[in-house]
Amino acid sequence: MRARALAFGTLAWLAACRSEDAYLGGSHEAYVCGLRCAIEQGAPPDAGDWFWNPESDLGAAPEVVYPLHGSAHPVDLRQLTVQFRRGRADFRVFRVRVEAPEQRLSFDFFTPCIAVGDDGCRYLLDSAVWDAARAELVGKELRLTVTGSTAADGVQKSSPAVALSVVDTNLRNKGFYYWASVPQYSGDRVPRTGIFRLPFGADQAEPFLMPGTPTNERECGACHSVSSDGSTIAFTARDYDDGARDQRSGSLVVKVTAQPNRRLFEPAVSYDSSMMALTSDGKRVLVAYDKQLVLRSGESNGRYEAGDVITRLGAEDLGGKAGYFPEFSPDDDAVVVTLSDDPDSAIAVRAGDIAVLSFDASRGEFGEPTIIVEGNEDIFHFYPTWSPDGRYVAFASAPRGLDDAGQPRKSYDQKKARLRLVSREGGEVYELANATHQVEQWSTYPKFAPFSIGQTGSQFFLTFNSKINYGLLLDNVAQTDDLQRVAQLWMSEVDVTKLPEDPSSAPIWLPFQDPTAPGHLGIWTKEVKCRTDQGVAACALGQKCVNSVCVVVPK
Amino acid sequence: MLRLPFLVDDYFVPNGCFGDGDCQGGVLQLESPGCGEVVTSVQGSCHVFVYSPLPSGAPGYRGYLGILFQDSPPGDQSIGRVPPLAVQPGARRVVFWAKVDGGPVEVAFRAGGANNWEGQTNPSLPYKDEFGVPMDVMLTSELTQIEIDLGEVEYEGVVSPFGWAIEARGRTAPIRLFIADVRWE
Repeated sequence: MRARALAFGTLAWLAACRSEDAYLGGSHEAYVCGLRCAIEQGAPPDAGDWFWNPESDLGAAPEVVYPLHGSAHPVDLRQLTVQFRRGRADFRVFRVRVEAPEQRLSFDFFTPCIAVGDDGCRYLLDSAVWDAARAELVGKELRLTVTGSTAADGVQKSSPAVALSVVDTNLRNKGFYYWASVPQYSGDRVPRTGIFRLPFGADQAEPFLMPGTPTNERECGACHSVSSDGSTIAFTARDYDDGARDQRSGSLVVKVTAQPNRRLFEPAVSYDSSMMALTSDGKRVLVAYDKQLVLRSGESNGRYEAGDVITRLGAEDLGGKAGYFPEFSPDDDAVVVTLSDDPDSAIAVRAGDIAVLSFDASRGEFGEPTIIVEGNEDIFHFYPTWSPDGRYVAFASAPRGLDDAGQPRKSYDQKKARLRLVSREGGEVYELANATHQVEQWSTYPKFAPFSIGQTGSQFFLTFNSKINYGLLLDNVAQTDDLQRVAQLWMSEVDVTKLPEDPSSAPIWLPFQDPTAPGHLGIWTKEVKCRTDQGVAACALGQKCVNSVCVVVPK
Repeated sequence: MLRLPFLVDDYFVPNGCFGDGDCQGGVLQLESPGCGEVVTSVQGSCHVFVYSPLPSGAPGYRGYLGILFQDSPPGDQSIGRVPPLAVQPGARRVVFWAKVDGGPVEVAFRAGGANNWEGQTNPSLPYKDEFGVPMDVMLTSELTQIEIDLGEVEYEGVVSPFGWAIEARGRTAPIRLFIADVRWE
């Protein structure tokens, strides 16, 4: 009885202390920062011993803002910047903990609040400890928490846990090509705008097709396609003032990626390209322009010269509509397009269906279009992309009608776009709401990576551009002017075994970007070819050329 | 007001270039962010600056090149025209990592000093730092953590929290400077 009374008294004292936010003091076993712990510059060496008291009831707890709840982090993606609100102003040290509760496995990172904005903090996971953590935590259900502490014997308070997973992937050294506008701080200070590329895992993208250089002699080159084998790139080159505002100008340029200073054929002097798709081997390119789809040769062989037109599909072949945004299936046995009878410009539509046409690559022939998602007066669909197994198509949808400025909504730069998925044969349309993350934040232009993971190959990666917030480092939502919002490239896992539930995960931000510089039109390839047009086989800084392929030099 | 500690790259960009050729014509290449295989367990960005000195007598020759990190407001971002940002008082140091390819190369690092480099100020320009703390370091190819002591410095606003300059001293071969994880603490 006396022991129970003593215990009760002690508990009451502890509770009183906690509610009064007093320091508890006392003893505990010293924390040992071993292989599963890192202490950041500015945190005390004994930071691990700052986190053993019970949680305080008083004051605000930290709040994790990034990573997003339910996100899937590729094991071979090295960097993750945790961003959180600090909570109590007197917290001096924070513990970022990533743990697998079921396995009782945890990794701790101790850091001061490296300041972001008014009350935010950031901590970049990018170390040998984080490498070990990803390897050990892959495939497990994880939670990430941030705990603040005031002192070695002080009070502490933890954030709500954020669920995330580290997924077993083989993305390293896969290619990624995207359009970006990167600020320049010296020379003419004109932003470097063009198509960049990198092998996945590199921390820096290489300027690849830059306007006004031998890689693109015209002023602009944004719309592009890269063959999934990484051998060939096609893009529309145009000058800003050579056409009407509807972008009905521009010429098709096709290059092998190893020699971006050389064209495979002479570009036309007149308009012949808007958006295009390359076959997986880059030998054929299907060009959408001027309300038609034109199949051209990307190679010279006994039958065709590079650039030759093989066939054309006009409205009479496409159910009275025009074809936009083509993409060849992974096996090149079909092409998926948007069919529209209400074009907005050469690169945008105001109405659209998603349709599949069979394709005979050897004969250069297309079948009749089969509409798999039909638009109507209320909604339209655009930007279709094949899953790597060819069984699904992801795309964007948006409501029709007038936008805030009273103009008809269009596919380009569409605020209300959201991500969706459908079987290749059509049928039920599944919302990729987790990937979209927030409505009306321009989540659009999805592109599947051309490879799958998981034992049954049912897990895919979908990249898209969006103007959702990147934690505290990019606050798009707070902007009142749409033009001030910055699109960034994001990636979500899509696991079709979860269907009919939403198969997508919350997205992750791709960490080679500059959050102040817009990024669009991300396209994956199986590899990045070394450049051979500069005398030696060359790759960008931090990479080396191995068997004609650029690979990231391990750190 | 910027709270301490902060990463300089979160709020400032290397837009204050001065020296050879007024930084035009390929005198300076800035490859960033990212330093390739350079191993740095850091929180902030890594930058590679490549300075290709002009030969003595060439048009625009100054014999040196420097960069100041500053805010990036719209409009003219040249040195002296970028306003300061308010920074929480009490910073103790600027700390960062640096190295050069080859070497040794003497690099004059600096905290502050915008339009006030070694006391030289152009009074016709609207903005300047009220302080400038130099730190000359002989860099080698070994990545080194460097600290600029701010203990004696008083400030309210900061135009340039960090910068560097290199004197060519007759060299014309490109100088490749790596700088990572610049922090105010």
